[in-house]
Amino acid sequence: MLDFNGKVVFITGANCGIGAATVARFLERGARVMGADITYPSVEPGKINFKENPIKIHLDVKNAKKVTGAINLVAEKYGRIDVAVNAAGILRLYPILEQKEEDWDEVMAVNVKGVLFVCQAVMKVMMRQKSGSIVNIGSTSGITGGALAGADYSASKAAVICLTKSFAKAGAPYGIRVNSIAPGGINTPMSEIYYEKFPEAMKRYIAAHPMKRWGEPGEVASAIVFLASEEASYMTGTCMHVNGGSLMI
Amino acid sequence: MRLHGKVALVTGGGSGIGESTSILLGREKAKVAVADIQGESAEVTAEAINKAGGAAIALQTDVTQAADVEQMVKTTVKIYGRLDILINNAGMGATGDVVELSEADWQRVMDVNLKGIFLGCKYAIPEMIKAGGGSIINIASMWAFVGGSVSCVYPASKAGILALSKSTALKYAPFNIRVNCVCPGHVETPLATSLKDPEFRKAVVKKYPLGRLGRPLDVSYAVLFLASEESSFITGTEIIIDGGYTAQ
Repeated sequence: MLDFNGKVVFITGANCGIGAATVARFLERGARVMGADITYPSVEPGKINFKENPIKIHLDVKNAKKVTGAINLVAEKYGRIDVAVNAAGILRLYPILEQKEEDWDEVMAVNVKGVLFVCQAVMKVMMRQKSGSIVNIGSTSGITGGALAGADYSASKAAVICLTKSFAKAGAPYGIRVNSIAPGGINTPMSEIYYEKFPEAMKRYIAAHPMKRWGEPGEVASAIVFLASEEASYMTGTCMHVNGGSLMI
Repeated sequence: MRLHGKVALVTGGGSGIGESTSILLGREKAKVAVADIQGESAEVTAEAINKAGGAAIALQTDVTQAADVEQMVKTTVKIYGRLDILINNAGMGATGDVVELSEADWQRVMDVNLKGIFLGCKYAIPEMIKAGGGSIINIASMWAFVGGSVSCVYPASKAGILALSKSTALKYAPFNIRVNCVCPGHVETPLATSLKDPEFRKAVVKKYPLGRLGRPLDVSYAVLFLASEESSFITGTEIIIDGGYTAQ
């Protein structure tokens, strides 16, 4: 039931951390993967080799028109999109009283509007085929507020968890499931900033962590695969916590 | 095979979610001890697993009795050599609000649904520590989050399971033991007798955004995910399997 042979999977933030681990996991399970990332080189749509797996598409998720274009291109070439994973996200750390408006806007544009645009475009495709599963990456900080994470980042992730529920309601009559995952501390390139900026605080944080460690991207990817699969066919609108128990303390 | 070499114990394994979970874990090559207060139903489940090429035993167990639960764990370890996975699934319901419900019914439901899990964890955890870790999955309910007008004791017992699970997860995380809950909505099981009334059933289905009731396997797949290494960074949490009911 975790078999994705012949299924078409669209993943944002595909070149890094959780997104990259998720691409690898879906490929292992036989999926046809379209990875989108702002760091991929820009290629003319006509020059994309659709025989490759994964296909790598340059995409800035802040740009609604580009997002719709990329998703429609995928749907046109493969006839369908079975799974979409919103893993693109950015993190910056500022003390809350020094949060600048332009930084706030940038974080919200990538982390929230990006998810909105992808869900809107993908859901139109999924509504036509009357099936599909979307998994959005929230964060434990979207529930607790930001201590290590910034105020903008944590607020954006709370929005992702809520947006997920709104899309779940819209998709349910069409058999489309939309769920989120709230990872706790995960060892990704994005989170290296914590170890660099706050080495002592990180030591204390890990010592107080129920599992005494942060998670690995693959441990989030396996939860994404489960939620995307037929095994989770009765789950929608939920938020799955992958945090090693950090939400208990 | 996602559970190769693992030993699992499932309470209430003779019917419904427990039955389908036992069979699924057996299919993924766990050795399964199927416990049920109705010994014969446990035997039927165990036989189905064995016939399909798996390995299972049946244990007649009343989860409200400490001696029974202790014996259940002992026998499993004696036969299969270790214990890695415990599914605390045995449960029951009783209708009635706080004015209507008898004290005896309150006590009985609390004993089966909540004390049974306390006892299961109490005797299983020392064996899991010996095995180098383990995964405990407690079957709670969506009703732990939303009020139920049909029963007062069932939601209360299921909410208790969430708190018990978190305390246990926190305490035993350093021993590599993970403790999580699954929270189903209405599931079509023998326990759900009210769903046999077609009018009531129709009204209930309407409340679920996905337009159907839960099936035992919907819950079993989440249990399998939590039992396996795929969920190695998940502890002290709940997976809600409710067709979107609580997201409304």
